[in-house]
Amino acid sequence: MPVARARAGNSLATGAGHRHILLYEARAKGGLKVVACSNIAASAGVRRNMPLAEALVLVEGNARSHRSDIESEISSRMLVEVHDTIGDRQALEELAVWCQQFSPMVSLEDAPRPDSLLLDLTGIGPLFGGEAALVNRIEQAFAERRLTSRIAIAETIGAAWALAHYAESRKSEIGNRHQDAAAPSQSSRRLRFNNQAPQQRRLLVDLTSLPVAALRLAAETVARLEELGIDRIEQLLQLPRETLSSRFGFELLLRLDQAMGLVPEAVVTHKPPPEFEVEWLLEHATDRQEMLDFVLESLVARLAHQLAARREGVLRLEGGFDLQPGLSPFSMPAEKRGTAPPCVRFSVGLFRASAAPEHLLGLVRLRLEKLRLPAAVTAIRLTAAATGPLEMEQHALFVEKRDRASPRHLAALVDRLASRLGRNAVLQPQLLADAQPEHACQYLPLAGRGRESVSQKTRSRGSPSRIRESRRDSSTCSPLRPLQLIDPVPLQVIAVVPEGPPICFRAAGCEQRVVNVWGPERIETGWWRKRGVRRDYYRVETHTGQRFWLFRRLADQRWFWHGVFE
Amino acid sequence: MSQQDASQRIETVRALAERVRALETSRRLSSHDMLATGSSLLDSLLPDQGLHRGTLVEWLFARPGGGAGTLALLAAREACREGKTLVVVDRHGSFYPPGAAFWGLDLRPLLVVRPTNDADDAWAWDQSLRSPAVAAVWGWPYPRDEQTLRRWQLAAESSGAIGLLLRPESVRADPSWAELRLLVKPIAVERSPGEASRRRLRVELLRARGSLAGGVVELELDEETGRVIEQEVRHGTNHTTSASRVHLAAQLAYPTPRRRSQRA
Repeated sequence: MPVARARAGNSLATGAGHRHILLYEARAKGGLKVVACSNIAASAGVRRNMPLAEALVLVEGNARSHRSDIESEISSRMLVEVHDTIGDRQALEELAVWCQQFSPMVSLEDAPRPDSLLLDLTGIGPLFGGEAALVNRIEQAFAERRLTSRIAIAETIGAAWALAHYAESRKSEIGNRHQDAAAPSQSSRRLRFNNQAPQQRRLLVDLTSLPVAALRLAAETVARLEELGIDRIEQLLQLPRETLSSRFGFELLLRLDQAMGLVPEAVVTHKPPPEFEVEWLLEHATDRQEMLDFVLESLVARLAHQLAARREGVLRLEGGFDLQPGLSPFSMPAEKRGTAPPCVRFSVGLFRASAAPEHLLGLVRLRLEKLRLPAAVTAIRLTAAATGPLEMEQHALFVEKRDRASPRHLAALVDRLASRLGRNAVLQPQLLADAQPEHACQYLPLAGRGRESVSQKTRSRGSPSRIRESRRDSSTCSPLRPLQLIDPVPLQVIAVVPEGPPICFRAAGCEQRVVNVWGPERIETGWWRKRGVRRDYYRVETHTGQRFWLFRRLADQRWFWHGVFE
Repeated sequence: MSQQDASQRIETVRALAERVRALETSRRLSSHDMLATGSSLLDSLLPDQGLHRGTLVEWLFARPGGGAGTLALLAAREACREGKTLVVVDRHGSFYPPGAAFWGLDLRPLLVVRPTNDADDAWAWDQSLRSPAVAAVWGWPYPRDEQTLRRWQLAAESSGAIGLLLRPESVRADPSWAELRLLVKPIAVERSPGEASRRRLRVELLRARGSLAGGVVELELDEETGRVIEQEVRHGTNHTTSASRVHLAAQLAYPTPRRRSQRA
């Protein structure tokens, strides 16, 4: 799942297909370790829990040995990212909802980092022409989504999980019911839960040859068992049952019994978050502003009421106007005429969750000021695309009004600004520990973050550079930098010696004679990006007292103007 | 003109100035407290020894890179000490937060707004100044008509935010609703190679609403520590202290001798 998700996300964003994908995480002991990797990276020798630095050397060495790639091409075909556990869980939850086409009861496995889906197939098989046909259909559906899967059908959740993860053959049929299909990465299994004695016996036969880790045990328990030389389930079963619990904890016995069907385990259906959507179909298409205003007001009030009842607030509101087709054909592009009814969509992001109808309506109106409706409207719909819990505020008696209302007022300001100027126009800067001035700061949009964290969205992809990147606290000592940074402007500069400081240049429309100069500050970095930089920066004071930030590009000795000490 | 007449004229001018000041500042809300500019020398230049919350302050600059932005930013830093938000309206997307971090600005309560046209720029200023969550708004607003500035001034007055407007010197003759209009000019001082990196700025009080203008101070910004040097700055060959203030009242009271001395 992590690798498939990273591949899908990046190929959509960059249009490039990455061959080597490495996902890593920082651990308290041992630094950065590989969590998942693509097949090609695995064939180069990368393994899970391997130090990232070692994995990078292996991957780069492998790429060079296959082709004489230049460095930039290697880096463009390599994707190194922090493993995003929250993103994985969200993707799996979405997949669970999608899998409800096969079974009404779908859940995520009960684990800190789930990677499996559980489907209750009791009585479902005949609807699809048998369980074998159902397995094939599911496998095909996953393949169409470019996801590989391992599928097993068994009588208990434990047995299905064990077979999907540890069965050796791709398709081995056990009895008439059990199947497993082998492929890496994405795991999914369907199970039929039936707690009957004859099947227990068959289950035992099936599972005994599997390793003990197939029982969904904690890593420490597995390690302790292996220390004692107990590798397979059959060895475990030979031990006296009454001693297992005291020696290895309660979990071992529970998992064993669950796998064999002695202790029931149910599939708890995953419920997607409720959708808040309101719609108004107009009997007669209209473009009257008062009418549309009235409808919007009613819809916002209905939506706010639905949300408030669940103590939820909107973080991102999406809306759409269905337009009457053919009413004003000249206002539409030629290729769209005669196709589906046109729709004008808009989106409003909020800084803090809100279910106040007046506030939401104000934001929608601000957004609509910039929207043109080329034809009469036939329907209006509003959806709360992202929601969050409402923050309750307790009013105090003796607190000054100005002090109390600040966070709420800030949220209102951000919402208003983002509604009119756009989400990407209201930003919070964050300093990064990157020496290259262009990359020393990133901007995070404040409005409409929703459930996903902003840092995930703004993370740069496709290079190992971000390994070294970390947020820099603004309170730490910062180097002197200009207040204005501009795109580098080429300059004509006169210097006494070829590699010395400037004495005269032309900027801001006039000749500038340099009075004072501080530098050079050499910045040589970014080799892992497509174009590394090698620059000598100078702070210069001109005869008029103006201060500029200039640099000389060391590659070709050309001068550029990069900033103004305003 | 006798000495007695001259002193009478000074008194008359002072009395009139006090009345004008009383009229102009009568509507100011009492809860809007004072703010330091980040430099005690600069504070001493101002009529009330600091800036008023809920007002607009114009920082005029002759050329880019003249230091007006840094001085205004130091004032913004003081305004945000209570944890309220600083809004930077950045029409061209050129504001560089690492430059602000050097001068001790806390970036956590910083909001950067990037309007894409003039109308949105004016609207963003208005909305930001109107919000009670905002301590200060800093930026380069486009040349604005009197009505827009009046609207901003009322917005600031209603919320208690301070508007720090960086404007070109070309507007110095235009009427303004700003409480203060300051002209910041850099002074190039040739430094020896080993000398500390400092920046000398000359600040002139062009206009103070309801008060007398005309003072000048010179101060230095230490670019190694990020502090304002408060000691008296000596410059040129005369080694005169630059913290002297020249009052308009004195100029009005002694018009002829003043001109004569200037000619001399």
